[in-house]
Amino acid sequence: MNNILIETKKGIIEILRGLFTVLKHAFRPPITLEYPEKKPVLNSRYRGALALRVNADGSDICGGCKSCMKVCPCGDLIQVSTHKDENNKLVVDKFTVDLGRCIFCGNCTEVCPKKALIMTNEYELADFSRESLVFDKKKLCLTPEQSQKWHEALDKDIQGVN
Amino acid sequence: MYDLYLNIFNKFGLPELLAKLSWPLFPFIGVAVLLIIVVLFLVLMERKILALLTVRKGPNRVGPYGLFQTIADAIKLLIKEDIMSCETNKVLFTLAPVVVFVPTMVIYGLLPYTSNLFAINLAAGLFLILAISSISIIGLVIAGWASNNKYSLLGGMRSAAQAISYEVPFFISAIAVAILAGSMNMNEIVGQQAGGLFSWNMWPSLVGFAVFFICCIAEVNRVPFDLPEAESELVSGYNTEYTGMKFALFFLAEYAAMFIMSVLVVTLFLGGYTSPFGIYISQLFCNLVLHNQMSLNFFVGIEQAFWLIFKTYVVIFAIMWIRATLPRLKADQLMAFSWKFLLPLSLLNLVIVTVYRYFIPG
Repeated sequence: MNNILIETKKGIIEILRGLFTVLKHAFRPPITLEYPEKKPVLNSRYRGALALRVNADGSDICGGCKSCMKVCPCGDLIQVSTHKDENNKLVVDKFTVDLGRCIFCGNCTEVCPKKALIMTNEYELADFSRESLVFDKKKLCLTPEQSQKWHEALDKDIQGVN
Repeated sequence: MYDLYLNIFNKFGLPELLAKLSWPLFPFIGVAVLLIIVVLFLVLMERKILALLTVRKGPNRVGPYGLFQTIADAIKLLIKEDIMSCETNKVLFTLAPVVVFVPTMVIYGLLPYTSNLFAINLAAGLFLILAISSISIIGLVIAGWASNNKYSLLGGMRSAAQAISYEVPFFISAIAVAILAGSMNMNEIVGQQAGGLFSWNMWPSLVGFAVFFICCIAEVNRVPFDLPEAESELVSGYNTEYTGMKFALFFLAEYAAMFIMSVLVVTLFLGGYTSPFGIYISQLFCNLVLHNQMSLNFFVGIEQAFWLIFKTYVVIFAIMWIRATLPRLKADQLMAFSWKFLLPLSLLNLVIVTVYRYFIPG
Protein backbone atom coordinates (compact mmCIF):
# COMPACT_ATOMS: atom_id res chain seq x y z
CA MET A 1 0.00 0.00 0.00
CA ASN A 2 2.76 2.39 1.03
CA ASN A 3 4.70 1.38 -2.05
CA ILE A 4 1.77 2.26 -4.32
CA LEU A 5 1.47 5.69 -2.73
CA ILE A 6 5.17 6.43 -3.23
CA GLU A 7 5.02 5.22 -6.84
CA THR A 8 1.93 7.32 -7.51
CA LYS A 9 3.52 10.42 -6.03
CA LYS A 10 6.65 9.85 -8.11
CA GLY A 11 4.59 9.35 -11.26
CA ILE A 12 2.55 12.50 -10.73
CA ILE A 13 5.68 14.57 -10.12
CA GLU A 14 7.34 13.19 -13.25
CA ILE A 15 4.27 13.90 -15.39
CA LEU A 16 4.03 17.45 -14.04
CA ARG A 17 7.71 17.99 -14.76
CA GLY A 18 7.15 16.81 -18.32
CA LEU A 19 4.14 19.07 -18.71
CA PHE A 20 6.04 22.14 -17.53
CA THR A 21 9.01 21.34 -19.75
CA VAL A 22 6.62 21.30 -22.70
CA LEU A 23 4.97 24.53 -21.55
CA LYS A 24 8.35 26.25 -21.37
CA HIS A 25 8.74 25.61 -25.09
CA ALA A 26 5.73 27.80 -25.80
CA PHE A 27 7.80 30.86 -24.97
CA ARG A 28 10.55 30.06 -27.45
CA PRO A 29 10.58 31.68 -30.88
CA PRO A 30 9.53 29.09 -33.49
CA ILE A 31 12.30 27.30 -35.34
CA THR A 32 10.20 27.09 -38.51
CA LEU A 33 11.71 28.86 -41.52
CA GLU A 34 9.03 30.02 -43.94
CA TYR A 35 11.15 28.90 -46.86
CA PRO A 36 10.14 30.63 -50.08
CA GLU A 37 9.88 33.97 -48.29
CA LYS A 38 12.84 33.59 -45.97
CA LYS A 39 16.04 31.85 -46.96
CA PRO A 40 18.40 30.01 -44.64
CA VAL A 41 21.80 31.57 -43.88
CA LEU A 42 24.37 29.19 -45.32
CA ASN A 43 28.03 28.69 -44.61
CA SER A 44 30.41 29.37 -47.48
CA ARG A 45 31.50 25.72 -47.28
CA TYR A 46 27.96 24.68 -48.28
CA ARG A 47 28.07 22.33 -51.26
CA GLY A 48 25.78 23.99 -53.77
CA ALA A 49 25.99 24.33 -57.53
CA LEU A 50 29.42 24.21 -59.15
CA ALA A 51 30.86 27.41 -60.61
CA LEU A 52 34.08 28.62 -62.22
CA ARG A 53 35.97 31.58 -60.84
CA VAL A 54 37.51 34.08 -63.24
CA ASN A 55 40.31 36.63 -62.98
CA ALA A 56 39.67 40.31 -62.36
CA ASP A 57 39.87 41.00 -66.14
CA GLY A 58 37.40 38.22 -66.91
CA SER A 59 39.89 35.63 -68.23
CA ASP A 60 39.74 32.01 -67.07
CA ILE A 61 41.63 30.90 -63.97
CA CYS A 62 41.10 27.29 -65.00
CA GLY A 63 44.24 25.92 -66.58
CA GLY A 64 42.61 22.90 -68.21
CA CYS A 65 44.43 20.25 -66.17
CA LYS A 66 41.34 17.99 -66.22
CA SER A 67 41.91 16.82 -62.62
CA CYS A 68 38.24 17.40 -61.87
CA MET A 69 37.30 15.18 -64.80
CA LYS A 70 39.45 12.33 -63.50
CA VAL A 71 38.42 12.56 -59.86
CA CYS A 72 34.68 12.74 -60.48
CA PRO A 73 32.99 9.59 -59.06
CA CYS A 74 30.02 9.92 -61.44
CA GLY A 75 31.92 9.16 -64.65
CA ASP A 76 31.74 11.66 -67.51
CA LEU A 77 29.80 14.28 -65.62
CA ILE A 78 32.43 17.00 -66.08
CA GLN A 79 33.67 17.36 -69.62
CA VAL A 80 36.68 19.57 -70.41
CA SER A 81 38.31 19.97 -73.80
CA THR A 82 41.38 22.10 -74.34
CA HIS A 83 43.83 23.16 -77.02
CA LYS A 84 47.34 24.64 -76.80
CA ASP A 85 47.86 28.24 -77.83
CA GLU A 86 51.00 29.75 -79.42
CA ASN A 87 52.78 29.99 -76.00
CA ASN A 88 52.18 26.26 -75.42
CA LYS A 89 49.64 27.03 -72.67
CA LEU A 90 46.36 25.15 -72.34
CA VAL A 91 43.22 27.06 -73.23
CA VAL A 92 39.84 25.72 -72.16
CA ASP A 93 37.42 25.47 -75.08
CA LYS A 94 34.58 23.59 -73.49
CA PHE A 95 33.73 23.05 -69.81
CA THR A 96 30.35 21.37 -69.16
CA VAL A 97 28.97 20.02 -65.92
CA ASP A 98 25.83 17.86 -65.87
CA LEU A 99 24.38 18.98 -62.53
CA GLY A 100 21.45 16.59 -62.97
CA ARG A 101 23.83 13.71 -62.25
CA CYS A 102 26.13 15.52 -59.80
CA ILE A 103 26.16 14.08 -56.27
CA PHE A 104 27.71 17.26 -54.82
CA CYS A 105 30.58 15.37 -53.22
CA GLY A 106 32.99 18.27 -53.77
CA ASN A 107 35.93 16.13 -54.93
CA CYS A 108 36.43 18.25 -58.03
CA THR A 109 36.74 21.45 -55.98
CA GLU A 110 39.14 19.82 -53.53
CA VAL A 111 41.42 18.65 -56.33
CA CYS A 112 41.41 21.87 -58.38
CA PRO A 113 45.02 23.19 -58.19
CA LYS A 114 44.07 26.83 -58.85
CA LYS A 115 40.81 26.79 -56.88
CA ALA A 116 39.05 27.73 -60.11
CA LEU A 117 36.17 25.28 -59.72
CA ILE A 118 34.23 26.07 -56.55
CA MET A 119 30.90 25.21 -54.96
CA THR A 120 28.55 28.12 -54.40
CA ASN A 121 25.61 28.50 -52.05
CA GLU A 122 23.13 28.16 -54.89
CA TYR A 123 20.74 25.29 -54.14
CA GLU A 124 17.56 26.19 -56.03
CA LEU A 125 18.48 24.18 -59.09
CA ALA A 126 15.16 22.60 -60.06
CA ASP A 127 14.34 22.85 -63.74
CA PHE A 128 11.93 21.45 -66.28
CA SER A 129 14.32 19.36 -68.39
CA ARG A 130 17.49 17.33 -68.01
CA GLU A 131 19.12 19.29 -70.83
CA SER A 132 18.85 22.58 -69.00
CA LEU A 133 20.73 21.09 -66.04
CA VAL A 134 23.84 20.61 -68.23
CA PHE A 135 25.77 23.78 -67.41
CA ASP A 136 28.20 25.00 -70.07
CA LYS A 137 31.16 27.30 -69.49
CA LYS A 138 29.10 30.43 -70.01
CA LYS A 139 26.62 29.41 -67.31
CA LEU A 140 29.33 28.22 -64.91
CA CYS A 141 31.54 31.33 -65.00
CA LEU A 142 30.99 33.84 -62.23
CA THR A 143 31.47 37.59 -62.64
CA PRO A 144 34.88 38.96 -61.52
CA GLU A 145 33.31 40.55 -58.43
CA GLN A 146 31.64 37.34 -57.37
CA SER A 147 34.89 35.46 -58.00
CA GLN A 148 36.72 37.81 -55.69
CA LYS A 149 34.01 37.43 -53.02
CA TRP A 150 34.16 33.64 -53.16
CA HIS A 151 37.96 33.70 -53.14
CA GLU A 152 37.93 35.64 -49.88
CA ALA A 153 35.22 33.48 -48.32
CA LEU A 154 37.00 30.24 -49.18
CA ASP A 155 40.34 31.58 -47.96
CA LYS A 156 38.75 32.37 -44.65
CA ASP A 157 37.35 28.84 -44.43
CA ILE A 158 40.71 27.25 -45.16
CA GLN A 159 42.32 29.34 -42.43
CA GLY A 160 39.52 28.37 -40.07
CA VAL A 161 39.98 24.66 -40.77
CA ASN A 162 43.74 24.75 -40.33
CA MET B 1 -40.78 33.91 -30.07
CA TYR B 2 -43.06 30.97 -30.73
CA ASP B 3 -46.09 33.27 -30.97
CA LEU B 4 -44.30 35.36 -33.56
CA TYR B 5 -43.49 32.24 -35.53
CA LEU B 6 -47.12 31.09 -35.32
CA ASN B 7 -48.29 34.51 -36.53
CA ILE B 8 -46.13 34.22 -39.64
CA PHE B 9 -47.73 30.86 -40.41
CA ASN B 10 -51.22 32.25 -39.86
CA LYS B 11 -50.53 35.20 -42.16
CA PHE B 12 -49.59 32.92 -45.05
CA GLY B 13 -52.51 30.59 -44.38
CA LEU B 14 -50.39 27.58 -43.50
CA PRO B 15 -51.68 24.95 -41.05
CA GLU B 16 -50.77 25.37 -37.40
CA LEU B 17 -49.60 21.78 -37.19
CA LEU B 18 -46.76 22.58 -39.58
CA ALA B 19 -45.59 25.38 -37.29
CA LYS B 20 -45.76 23.06 -34.30
CA LEU B 21 -43.72 20.41 -36.09
CA SER B 22 -41.13 22.74 -37.54
CA TRP B 23 -40.56 24.88 -34.43
CA PRO B 24 -38.14 22.39 -32.74
CA LEU B 25 -36.06 22.50 -35.93
CA PHE B 26 -34.63 25.90 -35.00
CA PRO B 27 -32.78 24.87 -31.85
CA PHE B 28 -31.57 21.87 -33.81
CA ILE B 29 -30.22 24.07 -36.59
CA GLY B 30 -28.66 26.31 -33.96
CA VAL B 31 -26.95 23.36 -32.32
CA ALA B 32 -25.74 22.02 -35.66
CA VAL B 33 -24.26 25.36 -36.69
CA LEU B 34 -22.68 25.86 -33.26
CA LEU B 35 -21.19 22.37 -33.41
CA ILE B 36 -19.65 22.85 -36.83
CA ILE B 37 -18.22 26.27 -35.96
CA VAL B 38 -16.82 24.98 -32.67
CA VAL B 39 -15.20 21.98 -34.33
CA LEU B 40 -13.74 23.95 -37.23
CA PHE B 41 -11.93 26.27 -34.90
CA LEU B 42 -11.09 23.55 -32.38
CA VAL B 43 -9.12 21.70 -35.05
CA LEU B 44 -7.27 24.89 -35.88
CA MET B 45 -6.70 25.61 -32.19
CA GLU B 46 -5.27 22.16 -31.66
CA ARG B 47 -2.87 22.55 -34.56
CA LYS B 48 -1.84 26.01 -33.40
CA ILE B 49 -1.30 24.95 -29.79
CA LEU B 50 0.63 21.82 -30.75
CA ALA B 51 2.78 24.01 -32.98
CA LEU B 52 3.33 26.47 -30.15
CA LEU B 53 4.37 23.72 -27.74
CA THR B 54 6.65 22.01 -30.23
CA VAL B 55 8.35 25.28 -31.26
CA ARG B 56 6.76 25.45 -34.72
CA LYS B 57 4.50 27.98 -36.42
CA GLY B 58 1.47 25.90 -37.37
CA PRO B 59 -0.91 26.62 -40.24
CA ASN B 60 -0.50 30.24 -41.40
CA ARG B 61 -1.10 30.16 -45.15
CA VAL B 62 -4.89 30.15 -45.65
CA GLY B 63 -6.35 33.46 -44.54
CA PRO B 64 -5.02 35.70 -41.77
CA TYR B 65 -2.99 33.58 -39.29
CA GLY B 66 -4.30 30.49 -41.08
CA LEU B 67 -7.82 31.03 -39.75
CA PHE B 68 -9.49 29.46 -42.79
CA GLN B 69 -7.26 26.38 -42.87
CA THR B 70 -9.90 23.98 -41.54
CA ILE B 71 -12.56 25.46 -43.82
CA ALA B 72 -10.30 24.70 -46.77
CA ASP B 73 -9.71 21.19 -45.40
CA ALA B 74 -13.45 20.65 -44.98
CA ILE B 75 -14.12 21.72 -48.58
CA LYS B 76 -11.39 19.35 -49.73
CA LEU B 77 -12.98 16.47 -47.78
CA LEU B 78 -16.43 17.29 -49.17
CA ILE B 79 -15.35 17.10 -52.81
CA LYS B 80 -13.31 13.91 -52.36
CA GLU B 81 -14.44 10.62 -53.85
CA ASP B 82 -16.38 8.35 -51.51
CA ILE B 83 -14.55 5.02 -51.76
CA MET B 84 -15.98 1.74 -50.47
CA SER B 85 -13.96 -1.41 -50.95
CA CYS B 86 -15.98 -4.22 -52.56
CA GLU B 87 -16.49 -6.58 -49.60
CA THR B 88 -17.54 -4.02 -47.01
CA ASN B 89 -20.98 -4.19 -45.49
CA LYS B 90 -22.33 -1.10 -47.28
CA VAL B 91 -25.26 -0.43 -44.96
CA LEU B 92 -23.27 -0.64 -41.74
CA PHE B 93 -20.33 1.17 -43.30
CA THR B 94 -22.56 4.15 -44.05
CA LEU B 95 -24.42 3.91 -40.76
CA ALA B 96 -21.32 3.92 -38.53
CA PRO B 97 -20.32 7.60 -38.88
CA VAL B 98 -23.95 8.57 -38.27
CA VAL B 99 -24.11 6.47 -35.09
CA VAL B 100 -20.91 8.12 -33.90
CA PHE B 101 -21.98 11.63 -34.82
CA VAL B 102 -25.62 11.83 -33.73
CA PRO B 103 -25.18 11.18 -29.96
CA THR B 104 -22.56 13.93 -29.73
CA MET B 105 -24.99 16.26 -31.44
CA VAL B 106 -27.80 15.33 -29.06
CA ILE B 107 -25.65 16.06 -26.00
CA TYR B 108 -25.11 19.63 -27.21
CA GLY B 109 -28.80 20.20 -26.62
CA LEU B 110 -28.65 18.90 -23.04
CA LEU B 111 -25.90 21.15 -21.74
CA PRO B 112 -26.71 24.37 -19.86
CA TYR B 113 -24.84 27.28 -21.45
CA THR B 114 -26.26 30.04 -19.21
CA SER B 115 -28.96 30.00 -16.56
CA ASN B 116 -31.52 30.73 -19.30
CA LEU B 117 -29.92 29.25 -22.39
CA PHE B 118 -30.50 25.51 -22.63
CA ALA B 119 -32.57 23.39 -24.96
CA ILE B 120 -34.02 20.89 -22.47
CA ASN B 121 -33.92 21.13 -18.67
CA LEU B 122 -34.29 17.52 -17.63
CA ALA B 123 -34.54 16.30 -14.04
CA ALA B 124 -32.05 13.52 -14.85
CA GLY B 125 -29.95 15.47 -17.34
CA LEU B 126 -26.63 14.14 -16.08
CA PHE B 127 -27.89 10.57 -16.35
CA LEU B 128 -29.06 11.11 -19.92
CA ILE B 129 -25.80 12.78 -20.96
CA LEU B 130 -23.73 9.93 -19.57
CA ALA B 131 -26.04 7.35 -21.18
CA ILE B 132 -25.98 9.00 -24.61
CA SER B 133 -22.25 9.62 -24.57
CA SER B 134 -21.59 5.87 -24.49
CA ILE B 135 -23.71 5.18 -27.59
CA SER B 136 -21.09 6.55 -29.97
CA ILE B 137 -18.74 3.70 -28.98
CA ILE B 138 -21.13 1.31 -30.75
CA GLY B 139 -20.56 3.36 -33.89
CA LEU B 140 -16.82 2.85 -33.62
CA VAL B 141 -17.27 -0.92 -33.28
CA ILE B 142 -19.64 -0.96 -36.26
CA ALA B 143 -17.11 1.05 -38.27
CA GLY B 144 -14.36 -1.41 -37.37
CA TRP B 145 -16.44 -4.42 -38.25
CA ALA B 146 -17.98 -3.09 -41.48
CA SER B 147 -14.65 -1.96 -42.92
CA ASN B 148 -13.56 -5.56 -43.66
CA ASN B 149 -10.04 -4.67 -42.55
CA LYS B 150 -8.14 -6.30 -39.70
CA TYR B 151 -6.64 -3.03 -38.49
CA SER B 152 -10.03 -1.34 -38.42
CA LEU B 153 -11.52 -4.27 -36.54
CA LEU B 154 -8.70 -4.16 -33.97
CA GLY B 155 -9.25 -0.43 -33.57
CA GLY B 156 -12.96 -0.93 -33.06
CA MET B 157 -12.45 -3.72 -30.53
CA ARG B 158 -9.88 -1.68 -28.66
CA SER B 159 -12.22 1.30 -28.48
CA ALA B 160 -15.00 -0.91 -27.10
CA ALA B 161 -12.70 -2.41 -24.46
CA GLN B 162 -11.38 0.99 -23.52
CA ALA B 163 -14.82 2.57 -23.32
CA ILE B 164 -16.19 -0.20 -21.11
CA SER B 165 -13.29 0.01 -18.67
CA TYR B 166 -13.15 3.78 -18.47
CA GLU B 167 -16.88 4.33 -18.22
CA VAL B 168 -17.02 2.69 -14.79
CA PRO B 169 -14.79 5.20 -12.92
CA PHE B 170 -16.19 7.95 -15.17
CA PHE B 171 -19.75 7.31 -13.99
CA ILE B 172 -18.78 6.76 -10.35
CA SER B 173 -16.96 10.08 -10.17
CA ALA B 174 -19.97 11.74 -11.83
CA ILE B 175 -22.24 10.18 -9.18
CA ALA B 176 -20.14 11.95 -6.54
CA VAL B 177 -21.17 15.24 -8.11
CA ALA B 178 -24.82 14.21 -8.09
CA ILE B 179 -24.46 13.46 -4.35
CA LEU B 180 -22.89 16.86 -3.74
CA ALA B 181 -25.66 18.66 -5.61
CA GLY B 182 -28.43 16.38 -4.39
CA SER B 183 -29.76 16.38 -7.93
CA MET B 184 -29.07 15.11 -11.42
CA ASN B 185 -30.40 18.26 -13.07
CA MET B 186 -27.52 20.05 -14.78
CA ASN B 187 -28.82 23.51 -13.86
CA GLU B 188 -29.11 22.57 -10.20
CA ILE B 189 -25.62 21.11 -10.20
CA VAL B 190 -24.32 24.42 -11.52
CA GLY B 191 -26.51 26.49 -9.22
CA GLN B 192 -25.22 24.62 -6.17
CA GLN B 193 -21.68 25.71 -7.11
CA ALA B 194 -22.53 29.42 -7.38
CA GLY B 195 -20.50 31.42 -4.88
CA GLY B 196 -17.03 31.64 -6.27
CA LEU B 197 -13.94 29.59 -6.68
CA PHE B 198 -14.10 27.81 -3.32
CA SER B 199 -17.64 26.50 -3.63
CA TRP B 200 -16.83 24.54 -6.78
CA ASN B 201 -17.32 20.77 -6.63
CA MET B 202 -13.65 20.42 -7.48
CA TRP B 203 -12.59 20.91 -3.83
CA PRO B 204 -14.68 18.33 -1.94
CA SER B 205 -14.12 15.76 -4.69
CA LEU B 206 -10.61 16.62 -5.83
CA VAL B 207 -9.79 12.96 -6.46
CA GLY B 208 -13.02 12.59 -8.38
CA PHE B 209 -12.11 15.60 -10.50
CA ALA B 210 -8.77 14.04 -11.44
CA VAL B 211 -10.38 10.67 -12.20
CA PHE B 212 -13.16 12.31 -14.23
CA PHE B 213 -10.68 14.37 -16.24
CA ILE B 214 -8.52 11.33 -17.04
CA CYS B 215 -11.59 9.31 -18.00
CA CYS B 216 -12.80 12.16 -20.23
CA ILE B 217 -9.55 12.02 -22.17
CA ALA B 218 -9.91 8.25 -22.46
CA GLU B 219 -13.57 8.53 -23.51
CA VAL B 220 -12.78 10.81 -26.44
CA ASN B 221 -9.84 8.59 -27.47
CA ARG B 222 -7.15 11.20 -27.23
CA VAL B 223 -3.45 10.93 -26.43
CA PRO B 224 -2.30 9.22 -24.17
CA PHE B 225 -5.34 6.93 -24.49
CA ASP B 226 -5.66 6.99 -28.29
CA LEU B 227 -5.16 3.24 -28.78
CA PRO B 228 -8.25 2.81 -31.00
CA GLU B 229 -6.74 5.11 -33.60
CA ALA B 230 -3.06 4.59 -32.98
CA GLU B 231 -1.56 5.87 -36.22
CA SER B 232 1.71 4.04 -35.87
CA GLU B 233 0.25 0.60 -35.06
CA LEU B 234 -3.25 0.45 -36.51
CA VAL B 235 -3.05 2.86 -39.45
CA SER B 236 -5.53 5.16 -37.64
CA GLY B 237 -7.74 2.28 -36.51
CA TYR B 238 -11.45 2.21 -37.23
CA ASN B 239 -11.34 5.01 -39.81
CA THR B 240 -8.66 3.49 -42.05
CA GLU B 241 -11.13 2.65 -44.83
CA TYR B 242 -13.10 5.86 -44.63
CA THR B 243 -12.74 8.71 -47.10
CA GLY B 244 -14.39 12.01 -47.86
CA MET B 245 -17.37 13.15 -45.88
CA LYS B 246 -17.69 9.95 -43.83
CA PHE B 247 -14.17 10.43 -42.54
CA ALA B 248 -14.97 14.08 -41.88
CA LEU B 249 -17.96 12.99 -39.77
CA PHE B 250 -15.69 10.84 -37.58
CA PHE B 251 -13.30 13.73 -37.28
CA LEU B 252 -16.12 16.14 -36.47
CA ALA B 253 -17.54 13.77 -33.86
CA GLU B 254 -14.17 13.37 -32.16
CA TYR B 255 -13.64 17.08 -31.71
CA ALA B 256 -17.28 17.70 -30.85
CA ALA B 257 -16.96 15.01 -28.16
CA MET B 258 -13.84 16.71 -26.84
CA PHE B 259 -15.75 19.98 -26.54
CA ILE B 260 -18.65 18.25 -24.80
CA MET B 261 -16.37 16.50 -22.34
CA SER B 262 -14.68 19.80 -21.53
CA VAL B 263 -18.05 21.47 -20.97
CA LEU B 264 -19.01 18.51 -18.78
CA VAL B 265 -15.85 18.83 -16.68
CA VAL B 266 -16.53 22.54 -16.28
CA THR B 267 -20.21 22.04 -15.46
CA LEU B 268 -19.69 19.26 -12.95
CA PHE B 269 -16.49 20.35 -11.23
CA LEU B 270 -15.50 23.90 -12.16
CA GLY B 271 -18.71 25.77 -11.46
CA GLY B 272 -20.18 25.74 -14.96
CA TYR B 273 -21.35 29.16 -16.06
CA THR B 274 -20.98 30.78 -12.63
CA SER B 275 -18.37 33.43 -12.02
CA PRO B 276 -15.22 32.38 -10.13
CA PHE B 277 -15.46 35.59 -8.06
CA GLY B 278 -18.81 34.74 -6.50
CA ILE B 279 -20.65 37.74 -7.95
CA TYR B 280 -21.02 38.68 -11.58
CA ILE B 281 -19.00 41.68 -12.68
CA SER B 282 -21.87 42.81 -14.88
CA GLN B 283 -24.20 42.68 -11.87
CA LEU B 284 -21.88 45.00 -9.99
CA PHE B 285 -21.63 47.23 -13.02
CA CYS B 286 -25.41 47.36 -13.55
CA ASN B 287 -26.11 48.13 -9.90
CA LEU B 288 -23.60 50.96 -9.86
CA VAL B 289 -24.13 52.51 -13.30
CA LEU B 290 -27.21 51.41 -15.20
CA HIS B 291 -29.95 50.69 -12.58
CA ASN B 292 -31.87 48.68 -15.17
CA GLN B 293 -33.22 45.19 -14.48
CA MET B 294 -33.75 44.30 -18.15
CA SER B 295 -30.20 45.08 -19.20
CA LEU B 296 -28.92 43.35 -16.06
CA ASN B 297 -30.37 40.02 -17.14
CA PHE B 298 -28.95 40.50 -20.61
CA PHE B 299 -25.44 41.30 -19.40
CA VAL B 300 -25.44 38.53 -16.80
CA GLY B 301 -26.41 36.07 -19.52
CA ILE B 302 -23.51 37.19 -21.67
CA GLU B 303 -21.12 37.01 -18.74
CA GLN B 304 -22.27 33.51 -17.82
CA ALA B 305 -21.68 32.37 -21.40
CA PHE B 306 -18.28 34.01 -21.29
CA TRP B 307 -17.25 32.20 -18.10
CA LEU B 308 -18.44 28.86 -19.45
CA ILE B 309 -16.56 29.29 -22.72
CA PHE B 310 -13.46 30.59 -20.95
CA LYS B 311 -13.31 27.68 -18.53
CA THR B 312 -14.08 25.20 -21.30
CA TYR B 313 -11.20 26.44 -23.39
CA VAL B 314 -8.86 26.28 -20.41
CA VAL B 315 -9.80 22.60 -20.02
CA ILE B 316 -9.39 22.03 -23.77
CA PHE B 317 -5.97 23.65 -23.59
CA ALA B 318 -5.06 21.27 -20.77
CA ILE B 319 -6.13 18.29 -22.92
CA MET B 320 -4.05 19.53 -25.84
CA TRP B 321 -1.13 20.24 -23.52
CA ILE B 322 -1.28 16.64 -22.30
CA ARG B 323 -1.38 15.48 -25.91
CA ALA B 324 1.80 17.42 -26.64
CA THR B 325 3.55 15.87 -23.63
CA LEU B 326 2.64 12.27 -22.93
CA PRO B 327 3.31 9.16 -25.04
CA ARG B 328 0.67 6.52 -25.76
CA LEU B 329 -0.03 3.76 -23.22
CA LYS B 330 0.17 0.07 -24.03
CA ALA B 331 -3.15 -1.83 -24.16
CA ASP B 332 -2.47 -3.79 -20.95
CA GLN B 333 -1.29 -0.65 -19.12
CA LEU B 334 -4.47 1.08 -20.25
CA MET B 335 -6.70 -1.63 -18.80
CA ALA B 336 -4.66 -2.00 -15.61
CA PHE B 337 -4.69 1.76 -15.05
CA SER B 338 -8.46 1.87 -15.28
CA TRP B 339 -9.39 -1.22 -13.25
CA LYS B 340 -6.62 -1.25 -10.65
CA PHE B 341 -6.10 2.45 -10.12
CA LEU B 342 -8.96 4.69 -11.27
CA LEU B 343 -11.81 2.47 -10.11
CA PRO B 344 -10.61 2.20 -6.46
CA LEU B 345 -9.82 5.92 -6.47
CA SER B 346 -13.28 6.84 -7.71
CA LEU B 347 -14.88 4.60 -5.06
CA LEU B 348 -12.70 6.23 -2.40
CA ASN B 349 -13.81 9.60 -3.71
CA LEU B 350 -17.45 8.51 -3.48
CA VAL B 351 -16.94 7.65 0.18
CA ILE B 352 -15.16 10.96 0.90
CA VAL B 353 -17.91 12.95 -0.80
CA THR B 354 -20.68 11.04 0.98
CA VAL B 355 -19.07 11.64 4.38
CA TYR B 356 -18.50 15.29 3.49
CA ARG B 357 -22.14 15.75 2.48
CA TYR B 358 -23.31 13.97 5.64
CA PHE B 359 -21.45 16.33 7.97
CA ILE B 360 -21.70 19.52 5.86
CA PRO B 361 -25.15 19.48 4.20
CA GLY B 362 -25.37 21.70 1.12
